[in-house]
Amino acid sequence: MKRTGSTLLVTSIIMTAILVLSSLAGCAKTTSTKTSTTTTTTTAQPLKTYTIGLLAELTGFLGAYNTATVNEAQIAVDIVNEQGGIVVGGQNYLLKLVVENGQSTLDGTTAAANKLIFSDNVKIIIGPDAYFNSAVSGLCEQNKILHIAGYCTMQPDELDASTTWTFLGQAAAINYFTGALAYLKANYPNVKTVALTMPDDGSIPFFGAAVQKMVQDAGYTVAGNIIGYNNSATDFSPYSAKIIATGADACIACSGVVTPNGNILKNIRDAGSNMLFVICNSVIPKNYIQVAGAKEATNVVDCSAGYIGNPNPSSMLQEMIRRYQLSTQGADLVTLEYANPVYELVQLFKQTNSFDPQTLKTAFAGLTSIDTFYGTGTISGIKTFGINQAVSYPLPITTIDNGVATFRQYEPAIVP
Amino acid sequence: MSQATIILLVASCLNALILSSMYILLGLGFTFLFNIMGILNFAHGVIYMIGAYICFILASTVGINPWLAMLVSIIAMGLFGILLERFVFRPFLGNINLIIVVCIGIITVLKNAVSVSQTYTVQMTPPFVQGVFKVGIVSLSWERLLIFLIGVGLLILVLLFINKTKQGLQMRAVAQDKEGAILQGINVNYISALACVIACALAAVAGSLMGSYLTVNPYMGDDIMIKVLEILVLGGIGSINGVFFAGLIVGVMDAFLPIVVSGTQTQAIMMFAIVIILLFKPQGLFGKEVRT
Amino acid sequence: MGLMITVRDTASRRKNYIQIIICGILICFLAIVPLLTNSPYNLHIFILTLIYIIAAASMRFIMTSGQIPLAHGAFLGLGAYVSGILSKHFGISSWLTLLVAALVAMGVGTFISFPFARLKAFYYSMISLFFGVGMLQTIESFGKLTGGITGITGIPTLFHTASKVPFYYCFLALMLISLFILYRLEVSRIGWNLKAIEQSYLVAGSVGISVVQHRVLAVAIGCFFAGLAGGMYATYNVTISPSSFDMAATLWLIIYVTIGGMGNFAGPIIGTLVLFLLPQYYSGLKQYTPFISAAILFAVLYTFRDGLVSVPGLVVSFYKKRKKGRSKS
Repeated sequence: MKRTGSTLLVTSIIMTAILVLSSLAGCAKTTSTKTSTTTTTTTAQPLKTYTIGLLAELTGFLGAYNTATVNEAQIAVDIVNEQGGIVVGGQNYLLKLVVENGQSTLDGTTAAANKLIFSDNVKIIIGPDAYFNSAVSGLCEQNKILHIAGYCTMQPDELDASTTWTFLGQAAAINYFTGALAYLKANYPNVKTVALTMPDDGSIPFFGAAVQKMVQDAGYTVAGNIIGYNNSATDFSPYSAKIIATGADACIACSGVVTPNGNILKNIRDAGSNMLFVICNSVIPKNYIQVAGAKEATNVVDCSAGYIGNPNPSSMLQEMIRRYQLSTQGADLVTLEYANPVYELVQLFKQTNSFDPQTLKTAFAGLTSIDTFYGTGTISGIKTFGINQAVSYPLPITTIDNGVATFRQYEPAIVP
Repeated sequence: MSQATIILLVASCLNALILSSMYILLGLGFTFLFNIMGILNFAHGVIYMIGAYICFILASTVGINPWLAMLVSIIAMGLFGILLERFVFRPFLGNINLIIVVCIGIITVLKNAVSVSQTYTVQMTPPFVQGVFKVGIVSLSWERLLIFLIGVGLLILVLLFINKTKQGLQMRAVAQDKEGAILQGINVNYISALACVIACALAAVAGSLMGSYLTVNPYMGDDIMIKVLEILVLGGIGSINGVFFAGLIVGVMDAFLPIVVSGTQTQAIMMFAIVIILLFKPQGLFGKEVRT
Repeated sequence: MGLMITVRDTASRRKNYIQIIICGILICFLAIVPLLTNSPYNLHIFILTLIYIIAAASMRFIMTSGQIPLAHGAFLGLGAYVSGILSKHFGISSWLTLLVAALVAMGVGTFISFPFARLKAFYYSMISLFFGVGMLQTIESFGKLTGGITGITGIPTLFHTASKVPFYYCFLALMLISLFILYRLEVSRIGWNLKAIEQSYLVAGSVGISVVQHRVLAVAIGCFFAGLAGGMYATYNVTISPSSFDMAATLWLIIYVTIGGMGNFAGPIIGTLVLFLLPQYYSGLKQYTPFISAAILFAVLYTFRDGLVSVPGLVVSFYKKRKKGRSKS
C-alpha cells in the first residue's frame, strides 16, 4: 500500500468538495418532509396549512410499532381535515404532520428533535415513544416548544416538575399498572403476596420503585426483589422459575413488550404453576393468547389498550378503526399514542383560538379533563410525576382463561 | 432444603440443558463456517431471521404445515448460501475488514426490507408440537424438548458428517491447508459452497424453531450474534467438537445467573467470564490454533 | 548521483509545501463553515462528524498494527459515560472530564491488550469484542448511576450557551490536533514499526521490533482518542445512551475506515464524510435511508477494493497507462 503525496493532495481536494457540497446542500435545504402515507385533499379553496411535528422511531427496535402509530396519527389528521380542518382567528387551516425519525436511539431522537425545532421550525412536537422523552423534554423546555409525549417511563427528565412544556397525552405504563392494581384489589381477595417483573432496562430504580410503593400501599407484600429480565434473552424460563420460586400468589408484569411477558407466562404454566398473572401494557389480549398459547393463557388479568370491549365507541373511534383496518388489510388498532395527542391539540386549538405555543400550554395546564379517542380523559399526575400534566382515560380489564379473553369492566386508571 | 428450592434447582438444571441446546443450535452453522472457510459470517443473524420469516409466512399466512414450512425455509436458505459463497465470500476471502463490511451491507438491506414490508402485528410461527411432558416434579413442554432434541441431534449429525463422510474429510482438508487441498484435487469452490449451504440451512432450522418459541421480528438476528460468537470463541475455534461443551457452559451460566442477579447483570457477568476464560486460553477451552 | 538526490529532495519538498498549503486552505474553509450556514441542525451534524472522524482515525491507527479493535465503539461509550457521570453526578469541570475520559479509556485499553499482545492479532480482536460488550452491559446494569438502557440526560455541557458555534470551533480544533498527532505518529518510526508488525509479527519481532510494546502502544493511543471523542460527545450532546456505542457503532466505524480506505491516512475521514455526513442529507427518505447507505457500501466494495482513497491513484495510473500507450504507438 503506497502512500504518495499526490494521493493525499487529491483526496484532500475531494474532501473539500464533499464538505462544500454538503454545506451548500444543508443551506439550501427547505423545510418539512411529507410522510409516506396518503393525505386526502378537501375543498378547492387555497387553504392554509399548519404544521405539527411528529417524532417517531421509524427504524430500530420500535420501527414496526411506530410506523403503525404514525399511520394512526396520519389518519386522525385526515379525519380532522375532511371535517373542514380547524378554524383559528377566522381562517381555515388544514393540519399537516412533519415526521422525523428518531431511529430508536437516544441520540437519534435528539437529532430528530433538533431537526424538527431548528430545521422544520415546528412549534409543537408530538411523541416520541418509550423512554426517549428524556432527549426531547429538555430541548422543548429550552426553546418553548409544546411537547405532547406519546409514552412515559418515569425516567429522570422525561416528565417532572421542571418540564413545564411537556404533557403526556396518552396512557403510559403507570396508567395500565394503576388500572390493573385497582381491579386486582377489588376482585382477588385471596392474593396476599405478589411478585413484580419488568424489563431490566434502567427503569427499575424509577418506575420499578414507584410501582413497588404502590403495591405495598395497596396492602400487598412484594415477594423478593423486582425480577428484571433481559429483553433479548434466548429463553425466559429462568425468570419463570425464579418467579415460581418466590411462592407469590400473583405475578404482575408491570411493563414491557409481548414477547418476554408472553414467554414468561407460557413457561410458568408449562412448569405446572397456576399463579395469577397480571399484565399491564397496551398489547391486546389476543396477542398474548397467540404468544403464550391457548392452553397457557389462563388465569390472566390484562389491562390493555383503551378500545378493547368498548360498549359504545365514539364515532371518531369507529371511523379511526374503519380507516385503519382499510389501510392495513384488517389489522387491529395499536394504541393511538400519536393520534390521541393530535385530537387533544385540535381541542386546544378550538378552545384557545390560537396557535401560539404559550397560549396552548397555559390552556392545557389549566384543564382538568380533555376528550380522547377512548373517551373523556382526566388530567392529573402531580403525585406521580410532580406535575399535573398527564392525561388518563378509562382502561379495559380483560380476563383470559383457556385461551378465551373476556372483557370485564373499565377501570378509571387515573394516575395520582 | 425446602420444596420450592428443590423445584427451582431441578427446573434450573432443565433450563440449563435446554438453553445449552438452544445456543448450540444457534451457533452451529456459524462455527461450522468459520472452521471450514475461516470466515466470520456476520450475516448469520440475518440469515437466521430470514429463515424464521420464510417459515412464519408459509406456516402462518399461507397456512401450510409448520414442518413443511421449515423444510422450504431450509431449501431456500441453502440456495441463498450458494449465492453467498459465490458473490460475497469468494471475492473477499482472507480480508476480514471487507467481509465485515459486506456482511453489514447484506444485514442492512435484508433487515430493513423485512422491517419495511411487515405491518405491526405480533408475529409468531404456529407451534411445531404442543403439550407438556410431566414426570414427577419435572414438567417440560414438548416444544422445548423438541428444540433440545433437534439441537443435539444436529450437532451429532454435523460431527458425523465432518468425521465420517468423504465431503467432511475434504472440508477438513480445506480447513487445514487450502493450497494442499487443491493439489490433492479437491474442488475447493464446491466444498466452500457446500459449507455455506450447510451453515445457512442450520441457521434456517434454528430460525424456524425459535420463531415458533419466541416471536419473529426483524431484529431477532442482532440479538443472537453475540451468542453465536460466544459459542465459537469458547469451544469452536479449530474444531467443532468443543461446541457441545461451549454450549453447556453458556447454557448453565444463562440458566443459573438470572436467579441470583438481574437480567443485564447476567449478561455483563457472562461477558467477563468469557473474557477471563480467554485470558487463560485464548483459543477457547477446546480450540486449536487459529489459521489467520 | 548526488544531483539526482537533490532534485528528488526539492520535488518532495515542493510536494510537502503543496500539501501544507492545501491543508491550510481546507482548515480555513472549515473555519468559516458556521458562517455559511445559519441552521443549528447543520452545525449539529458537522459537530457529530468531527467526533466520528476522530473515532474513525483512532480506530485506523490501531488497525495499522494489524489488530482490529472490535470494542472501539465501547471505548467511545466508556469515555462518554466517564465524562458524563463525572460532570453530572460529581460536579467536575467538563473540560477536566474530557481528559479523564481519555485517560481512563487509554488505561482500560492497555489493560485488555497487554495479555494478548504476544499472540496472533485475531485473539485480541475476539477478546476485545467480548470485553466491549461486557463493558457496555456493565454500564447498563448500574441503573441508578448510568440510567441503564435509557441512558443519562442533563450532562453539563462544555459551553453554557444555546448556540452550537463554540462547540464547532472547539471540536474542530480538537479534531485537527488529534489528526495531527495521529498523522505524525504514523509517519514516524513507530508508525513504520506498526506496519511491519501488521505484515508479519514474527518477522518484525526477529528484526528487533518489540511487538508487545508497539501493539500495546497502538491500542493505548487509539483508545485515548476514542475516550476523548466519547467525552466530547457526552459534553456536547447532553444525553448519552448505550445504544449509540454498541456493536453496530463499532462495525460502522470499521465500515467508515474500510470504505474510505485503510491504506491512506485520509481514508477514515473520507469514509466518515461519505457514510455518516452524506446520509444525513437524504434522511428524508425515512425508512429507506439504510438502503442507500448499503448501496454505497456495495458499490465501493465491488469496484474499489482499497476504498475511496484509492480512486485518485487509480485514475492517475489509468491516465499514465494511456499516455504511455499513446507515446508507444
